[in-house]
Amino acid sequence: MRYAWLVLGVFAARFFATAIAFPQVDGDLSWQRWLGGVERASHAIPRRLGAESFAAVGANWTPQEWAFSLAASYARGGVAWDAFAGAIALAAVGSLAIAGFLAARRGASPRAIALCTAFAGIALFSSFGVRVQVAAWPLLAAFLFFLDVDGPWAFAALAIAALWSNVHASAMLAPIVAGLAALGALVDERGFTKNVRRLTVIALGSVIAICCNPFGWDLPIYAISLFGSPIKHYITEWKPTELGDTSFAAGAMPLLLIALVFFAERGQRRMRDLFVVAAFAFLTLSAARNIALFGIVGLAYVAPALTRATKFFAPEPPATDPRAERIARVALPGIACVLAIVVAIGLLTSEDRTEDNIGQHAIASLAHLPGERHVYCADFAWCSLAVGMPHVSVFLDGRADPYPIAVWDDFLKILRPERDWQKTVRARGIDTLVVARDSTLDQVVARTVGWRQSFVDKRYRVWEATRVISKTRSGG
Amino acid sequence: MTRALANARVLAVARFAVYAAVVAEAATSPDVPKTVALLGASPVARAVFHVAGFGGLAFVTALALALTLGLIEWRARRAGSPAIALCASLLGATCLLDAAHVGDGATNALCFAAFLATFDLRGRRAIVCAAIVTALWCNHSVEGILAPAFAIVFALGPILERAEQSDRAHAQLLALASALAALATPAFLTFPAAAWRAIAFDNALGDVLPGAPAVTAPHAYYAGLVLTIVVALAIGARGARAGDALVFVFAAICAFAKGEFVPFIGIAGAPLLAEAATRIFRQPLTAPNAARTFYAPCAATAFVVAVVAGGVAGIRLPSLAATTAAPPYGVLARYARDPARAGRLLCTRLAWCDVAEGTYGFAVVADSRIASASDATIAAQQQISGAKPHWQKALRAFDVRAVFVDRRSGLATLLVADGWRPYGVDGMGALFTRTATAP
Repeated sequence: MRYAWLVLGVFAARFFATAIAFPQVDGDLSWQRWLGGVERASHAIPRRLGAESFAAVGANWTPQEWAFSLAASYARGGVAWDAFAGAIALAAVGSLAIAGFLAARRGASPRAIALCTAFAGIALFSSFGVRVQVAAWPLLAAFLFFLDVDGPWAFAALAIAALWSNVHASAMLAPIVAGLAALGALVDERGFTKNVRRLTVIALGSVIAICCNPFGWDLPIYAISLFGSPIKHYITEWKPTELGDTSFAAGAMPLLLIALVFFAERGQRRMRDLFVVAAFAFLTLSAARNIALFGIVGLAYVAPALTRATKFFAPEPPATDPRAERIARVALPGIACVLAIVVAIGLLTSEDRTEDNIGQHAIASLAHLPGERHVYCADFAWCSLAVGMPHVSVFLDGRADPYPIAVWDDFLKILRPERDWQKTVRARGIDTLVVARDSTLDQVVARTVGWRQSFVDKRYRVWEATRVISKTRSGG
Repeated sequence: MTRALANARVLAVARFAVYAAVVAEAATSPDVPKTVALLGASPVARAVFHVAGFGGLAFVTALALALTLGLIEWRARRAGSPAIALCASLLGATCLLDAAHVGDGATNALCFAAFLATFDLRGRRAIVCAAIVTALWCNHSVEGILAPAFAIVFALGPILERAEQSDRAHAQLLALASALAALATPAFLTFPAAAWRAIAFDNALGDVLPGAPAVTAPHAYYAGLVLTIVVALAIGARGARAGDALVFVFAAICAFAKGEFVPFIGIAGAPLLAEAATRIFRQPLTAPNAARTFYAPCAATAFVVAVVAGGVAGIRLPSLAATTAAPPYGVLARYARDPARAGRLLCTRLAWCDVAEGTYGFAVVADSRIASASDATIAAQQQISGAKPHWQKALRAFDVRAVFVDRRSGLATLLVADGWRPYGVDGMGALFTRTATAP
């Protein structure tokens, strides 16, 4: 880990600066704060969509983010926000540190860990933000860490799985990963050995552990249902990975390419490791949201392979030259500190900090509109900011998963917009549209009688219906 | 002796199964826009079509695929048993799944496989062969520009592994010969830059020309590419020549970049992995061993051939004329006969314009070769397809009198709102023509 700390320092500067000082990357944090507020007020977790969303009132909902939302509801500004956002940044850095430790434990050299940490850190970039999935990253790393232990400490993985299921539904991966490791160990050790028995117990125990949350087995069922859900086509993060994703091209892909050449080895844990890495490689290639997960797994498993296979990355002999020792002790941390400061200053002075990417002002303008508003947002993430606003009910928001497919179909009909989009708008009782300025929908609305602009800025426009629209509320 | 003969028969059946499945796929599942585009681009394809119809093109495609598989197997046989080599060609076949249509995908795969085969030759023969294959490939398709790129990557191998001077010099000469041969096209010195732009490696045209491999080559991506990666993780490329490993890595990057390049990872990777598999089994497998170890894949392929054979009686080579008149092209056929037809046609799906131009002779703004078009054309296509600000101006500037769009798209709604005339709807396509009142 000697050099990896330096790399981690630079990434820490980036993650802390963007988490604390940058606007939210999507609208999720807004509805999560609202959810936390509801939990605090009612001392219960809502299990159905309410009047805050008029298109699917009463639809089943598994708010897997309940714990994160509760914390987020306290962190609305000031020191509380700094602490909360800082904790999320720490989770990202922590996941790299734990994976790095695991790599070191498996025999990776400091050089190999540093290189793979750099790639893994880049792999985290595109998914990073003050987001619930980031809080789950260190839990994945910790689960892998304990799973790798050949001893009673391995059972700590069960506690991690239980904790993970209270943070994010990706906890579903815990029994799968443990099961694959058990299967691999069975092949490696050619019998039901002590290791195989322990991993099998962990795999089966993880199935129970991930039910140790307020939703019980609803959580794994919900997570499984997501795999085949058609709504994935509408969500950018679920799109298949491609070379255009910087986090893939400069982060996960280099790790994967190194693994392609150097990973295979006829060691004692050949299949055990192979099954885990291959599973995450498949996940990465199938959806962009898994790039970060492969970064963490790749760091832990690829760095040792690189160490074994190449001379340059082989463990270094102890330094005999005092000058080299001084450089390692003083100069490298110094360079890392300078780089970290440069990165932080660069980010804090960047114009991106003040950029409104989720229509904050447009959504805020809804508060000034008269009467009850039924709002459609051309990007459903923007409507997350309106969840819980007085006199506002949204058509579809960033909670996404609980909305029935019929709502998604109508969402698309209006977004394109298809020729009979107005019929859908009327049938759904939508009276306010939040759109990107000059988008196709914006141009079509501008050519349609019955709408007037109530707000406009450089990037967004709000249209309100000028005549009474029959509000045939459909429950989706 | 009898057992060895029986095992040889199993392998022969399995090989036949693989090849037959690929040939049946190539002959029976036409990709109409790609076929028409090929006919427009290649005089050889036109001649074949003129003499033997679509069946002739399908035959050439199937032959190219079979030769590609043969080359993969031949390279894999260098260090592996017949059974491992057959498994290598099976792996290659999974990566060719989306190239098994009439178009330039199969012939590009063949050119690539042939080019890699020259890396295994020695002496002047290798250099001459590499130059010839490069020249043929570059004259056949812009993807030929990748030949010198692969040769340069291969030449880095001997340098990295500090091979003997003669090996280094050989690889470098091969790269040089390939680079020079890439100039042997009518475009001469301008070919490399134009070809690199045309293959759109960076997928900058993603909004009008999807290139993501999971979208454009889904079967090859999920079955072939993922399978190759899992096999590589399992048996690795260690022990192979550094040059071959680098070529495999570069082929993987190409496959991640574009659907058209997914076959490359199978063609480059399968022989390499066959070599590694042989090392893992410590010795080349003899035929009896091989048949036992690979009984499952052989049985699986035999099953495939049985399924294919079941459908053989029903195979009807499709008629190109019929498919280019079927939805959504029917409305184009009608408009082509309309005496009022004038100006240019713009298609939001570029493949539709391949058919419109190649079959019905429309003057189009752009077709699927858009990457080679001028910046102004690319910008106009992106502006109009995405209904971005001032898209009407772009329509005027390019004298577009007809627009062929997805009937459910927002552009269709905007065209109606702007007074364009809905000329007809066919399947998912809708054709609009300009009226005097349209802006």
